[in-house]
Amino acid sequence: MRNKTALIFLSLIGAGFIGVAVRCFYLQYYKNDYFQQISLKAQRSNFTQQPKRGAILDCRGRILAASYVSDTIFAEPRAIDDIKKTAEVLAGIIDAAGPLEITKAILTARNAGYAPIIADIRLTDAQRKQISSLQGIGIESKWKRYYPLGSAAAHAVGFIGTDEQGLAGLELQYDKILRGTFGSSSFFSDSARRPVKLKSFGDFAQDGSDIVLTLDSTIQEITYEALKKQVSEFGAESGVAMVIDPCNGAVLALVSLPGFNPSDLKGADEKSLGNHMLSDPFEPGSIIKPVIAAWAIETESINPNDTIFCENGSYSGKGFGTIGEYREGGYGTLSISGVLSHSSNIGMAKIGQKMGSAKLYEGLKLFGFGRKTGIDIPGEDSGIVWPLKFWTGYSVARVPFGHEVSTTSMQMACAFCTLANHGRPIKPHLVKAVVNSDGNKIKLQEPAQMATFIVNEKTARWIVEKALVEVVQEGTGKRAAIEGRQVWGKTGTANIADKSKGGYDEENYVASFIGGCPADEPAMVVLVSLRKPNRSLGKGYAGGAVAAPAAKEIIEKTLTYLKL
Amino acid sequence: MTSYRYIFVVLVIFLVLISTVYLRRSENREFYKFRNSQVKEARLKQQLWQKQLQLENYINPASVSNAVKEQTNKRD
Repeated sequence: MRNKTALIFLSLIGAGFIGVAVRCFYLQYYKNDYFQQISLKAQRSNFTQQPKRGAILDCRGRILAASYVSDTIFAEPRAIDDIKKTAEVLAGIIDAAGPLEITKAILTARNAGYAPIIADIRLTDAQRKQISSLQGIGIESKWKRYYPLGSAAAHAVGFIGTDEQGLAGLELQYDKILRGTFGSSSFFSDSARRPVKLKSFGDFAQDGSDIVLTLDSTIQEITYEALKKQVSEFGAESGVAMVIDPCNGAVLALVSLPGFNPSDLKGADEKSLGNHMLSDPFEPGSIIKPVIAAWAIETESINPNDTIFCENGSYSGKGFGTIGEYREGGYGTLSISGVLSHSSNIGMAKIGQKMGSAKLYEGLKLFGFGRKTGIDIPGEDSGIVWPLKFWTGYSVARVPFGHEVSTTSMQMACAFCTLANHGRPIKPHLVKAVVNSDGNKIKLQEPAQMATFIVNEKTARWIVEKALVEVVQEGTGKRAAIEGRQVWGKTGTANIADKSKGGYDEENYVASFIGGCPADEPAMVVLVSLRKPNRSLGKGYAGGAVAAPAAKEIIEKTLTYLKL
Repeated sequence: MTSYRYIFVVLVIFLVLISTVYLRRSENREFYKFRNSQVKEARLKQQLWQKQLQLENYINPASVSNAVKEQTNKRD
């Protein structure tokens, strides 16, 4: 009996062991992957390293845009037992906020899991350690973009979105280069989630490359201040200004107003975000005259020594309507340089008629009108040059003084660079080099060398050194003159097309000046253009009165700065 | 096997196990320290960069221009 009981007991134990063994086999063999995953999940912690977005630097290495880590102290209200006490302790650690302020921030939080207390704060290691030990309080680190020049360079530099992606300007154009690549690694961690062993290593985060611009912060600031002053003084709707090196197309300054602060886009007006320099084509008016005159000389349609009878202010005929002058009574006989210095529409119309539509059209195309200049900022418009088949007698007589053709300010600046560069065209560009995070140059953007001439050197020199110097010394651009300097340029007061009524808006104009200095070997081409200066202020609305003084200020200060 | 030998073998096994655990813990601790140093280095680099930006903020043309304006206004 006793043996029997012992046998049953042992059998039960044996069966139990067999059951456990079967279960073990089942877990080990069939459920192995499942439990291994659960176990690994508990032990593993993944770490993703965000790269630093590359900086945008000016031609002298000064920062125009850069990223830095910004810390925000936050609370998790539901995890705090005693809010008052926690607030007092936290206020003792940091000086930036008092206990009342902190309590208010925690109590008024809409989200029980997250209440930001102080944003963009700089913390020492000791403060960091103390804050981390507080229950329900944490530190959140985020990349933030910093733009030292603010709105002065906003349209050139652009801005980024909340996901660190470039949305406008160079930030958008060079987003791939600036962005960098994420790093990732996986660790085994202990019960306190401290990493204790490397599990797998993906890659190091690769910081974005920096880009070095041709832009000069000082010239940019000079240009911005001069344009801002003028836009405000004349109550203009918008304005653009630019400084460019005519020898290689390097943009030294590019300003578009109204501006915006790229660090704080919440308050920005939607209209201010557009870059008027590139995206706002307009009928250029008189500033196109030197370009047409140069082409007319080049094609031997006229000779620099010719004279033109300007019909005393009214010129009409079959097939081209009536053309008038800005000045009452107009002009009599003018030389070619006189036509430019007095900005005679009739003189230019006659030059256009002498050239004929085909040559005129060819000239416009060669100078780059009707197509994008290819500058490395997004959003460029190509302007409009109507195909030759749509041209009429009106076109031939009006295109030479800037009607029936629409251009961007950038295209006009490039056409003048061709004249200043002794007839050789240039390609405008803003980026000089790409430099990696270690400071090594990885790409140098050489300016495109144009071997061809659009007009020969003699013609280009005559236009710049004779005709356009005369415009500033004796003609409509007198307010751009600088004593002791040979400034050259051309003013323009262009009509604005009235889309609602058709024809031109008689009240509003685009006042422009484009020129440079010195005349023999121009170091810069400066363009200033103001849209719709307020005529009711009685201060004037013509290019010579509105834009030329700002151009003078920019040229004068830039020459001093560059020690020329 | 005498009882002394038996005790010696058990002791050796025991010591090997202890030292294995100790070495494993040391490795973990050192790795944690290494990671800490890496994070600290990154933070220090960040702080240096932020100081550079702060300096840049004082000397960039826009700040200088504002400072000059303020000085001129004060004088007027």
